Amino acid sequence: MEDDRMPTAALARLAPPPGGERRLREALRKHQARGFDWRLPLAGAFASLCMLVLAYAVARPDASMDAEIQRAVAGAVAPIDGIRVAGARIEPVATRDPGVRIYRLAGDQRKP
Amino acid sequence: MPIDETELVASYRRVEHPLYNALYRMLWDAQECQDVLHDAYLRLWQRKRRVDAARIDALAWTAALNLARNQLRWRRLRGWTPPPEALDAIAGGDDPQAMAEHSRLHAALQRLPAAMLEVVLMAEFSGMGTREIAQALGVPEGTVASRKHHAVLRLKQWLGGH
Repeated sequence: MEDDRMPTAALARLAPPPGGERRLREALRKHQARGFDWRLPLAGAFASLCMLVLAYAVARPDASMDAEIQRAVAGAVAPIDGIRVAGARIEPVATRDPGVRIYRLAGDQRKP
Repeated sequence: MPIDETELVASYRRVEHPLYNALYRMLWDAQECQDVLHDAYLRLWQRKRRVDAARIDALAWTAALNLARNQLRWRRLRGWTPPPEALDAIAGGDDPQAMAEHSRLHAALQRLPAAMLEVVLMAEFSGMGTREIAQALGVPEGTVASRKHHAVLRLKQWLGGH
């Protein structure tokens, strides 16, 4: 029968450095006292909020800007120095970019 | 059921000596062995809600061996070899014959592949059976038995049939 004794049985039994249990207890106490660190999650939440506000402000169509442009265009077709543009209409032209607005001055089809 | 501090420290008392002995034959540095032991128990503590009190000793072995394995990987990258005093310090006191035998045994252990060394050290020091070792290492029982068998054969061959 094969001899299956472990050659490692001759290995010396070493004593670990003293104070291991005390060090472990101290480490556990420190770990408990520290508790959950909220700083990183809070900073992350704040950064996300800022990004959200910024994205909303940039993407949102500005109604007041629309009205201002309409007024400016209307002013441009108004009589200046006795010259009057008559029979013109302002027509908004659809664009893909919400930040770009294009208007067209269209002639009155009813008049020759 | 989650573990409490009393159970964790009780496990540390049971496992500290055998696990330290096994780790020393992998890392050859007393301070590093104790650091690995502590890190392993702190990891268990961080996962205390998921740690089964009945398996805490085996889990400590698993965690410590994983950490030691990582440590060895780093060392291999840096080309580290154990200093001679790490072996001499435990080489059998003043008896020259015992010192020579221990030195040969340590040299033979260092030649073993890491997977075989872990099995041999666990079998020698942990008091666990093949099934428990297999669970702790996450390998089949047959693999543990095979690794142990081949490791013993190699050690006997290198040690000249002692």
